[in-house]
Amino acid sequence: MTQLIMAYILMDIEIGRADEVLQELRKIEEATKISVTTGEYDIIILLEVPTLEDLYDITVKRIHMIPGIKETTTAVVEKIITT
Amino acid sequence: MSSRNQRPVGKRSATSVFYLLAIGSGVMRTASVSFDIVALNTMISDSIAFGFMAQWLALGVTVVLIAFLSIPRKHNGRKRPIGYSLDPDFGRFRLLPRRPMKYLIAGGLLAGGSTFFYYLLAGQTDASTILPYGQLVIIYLLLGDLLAEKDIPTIIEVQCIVSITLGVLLVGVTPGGFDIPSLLIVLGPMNIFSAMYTYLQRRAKRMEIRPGLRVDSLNMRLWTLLFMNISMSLMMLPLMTPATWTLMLQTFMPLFWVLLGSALATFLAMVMYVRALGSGSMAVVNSFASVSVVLGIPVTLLGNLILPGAFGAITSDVFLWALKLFGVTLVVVGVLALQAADVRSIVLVNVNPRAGSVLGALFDVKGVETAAALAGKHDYLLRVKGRSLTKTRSAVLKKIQKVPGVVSVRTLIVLADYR
Repeated sequence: MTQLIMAYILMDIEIGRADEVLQELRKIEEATKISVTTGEYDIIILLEVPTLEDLYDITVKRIHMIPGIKETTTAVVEKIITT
Repeated sequence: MSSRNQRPVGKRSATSVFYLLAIGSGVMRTASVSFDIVALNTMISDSIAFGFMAQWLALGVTVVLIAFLSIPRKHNGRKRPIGYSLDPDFGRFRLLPRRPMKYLIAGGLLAGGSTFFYYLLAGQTDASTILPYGQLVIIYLLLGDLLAEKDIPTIIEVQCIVSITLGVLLVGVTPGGFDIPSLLIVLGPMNIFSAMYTYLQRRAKRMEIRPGLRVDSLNMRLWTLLFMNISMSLMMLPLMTPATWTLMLQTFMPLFWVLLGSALATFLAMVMYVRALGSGSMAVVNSFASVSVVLGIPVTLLGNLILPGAFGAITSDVFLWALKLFGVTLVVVGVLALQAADVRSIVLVNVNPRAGSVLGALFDVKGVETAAALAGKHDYLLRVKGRSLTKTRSAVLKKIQKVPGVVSVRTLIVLADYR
């Protein structure tokens, strides 16, 4: 099995729509972690995809289509260490 | 056997799943202990014979259950085994890879030791004064967590765990003293074996078979039980006489349903326990699971209404009840405080362009669970676990700022986590 590409998508959500957006994001199977946060961003998700092409598809065709998301910042993970 | 990236995010937040599992394990343990007590009080007095039958029947039940849970079922257009809802890492009945298997063999052999002592003591008349001390295993686990660098318990955790442990001991009080040899058996081999067993189970559960797929708790239970039974039986055999065997033959049929109930409850208890171990520290999981002692009170009271005497004697001493009530309060307060004090945050770090890689240095900060180097606006993303915001700030953020090259740190507090 090839190594998966991981990417964090940091999102800015319109006021009052966080819950709606959360429900939609949950349907994306490639999203392995979803965190609702306070501060600069409102929701941060971790995607695990086989190729960059898939990452493009998910961000452009799925996430950007969800009403309520104001802005997204995609950060591709270059290296990760975890417990 | 779907890896993380092939399954959707769960409906409940990660923290609630963790606490539900830990407490659920305690509830199921109450059920299985009640079955044992009923059997020992009404049908069979030889606890060694009972333990021998109970454990081997449990293995049979587990094999059948896992075979049943392996049956695939259609769910939203994709095939999944029935056992998926018990543990998403579960695929089907299988042998595990060599390394987790080694942990399970070692853990199983040790657990066999503590189970042997459990049944040995359960047969004594004053067992109820001694066995609550088995809960002191939490202290051993706390020390274990302290020694494991990455999982340092905070003062709040220590407070809550002490409160829960003392509460559990108070709940278990009975009139009369205890004899020192039995107490030593509980505090010595029984607790040490079960602490080591917990540690090994945790190591095995956290191992990845392939990226995103961890060892599943159902198969873990099966293989652990096999080795546990072998080591337990080896210790029991010298104590068993031909009379024990005839007794087992005579009582097996009438006991069958009780044994079955106990085996099913234990299976669920252990699966939940191991899954909780996969995502939390050992001492916390164990202290939550020890709520079983508190639940034992209503179960004993209600049970005795249905089958008088089967659930053990109830004291009418008001003073003892007051102590028990204090115990319950301590346990509940500890559990609630621990659950309320769970703060996770995500920290975004930017470094100056000539800093080189600081990923290792960032990950080495205690409390950092995951560190990722990113391409894009931010340079690093850290997932930080703390018991309070002050703790996160003082212990974690200050150290992150001290890492050479770090120019900006932005902290986002996680309100809910789903995985």
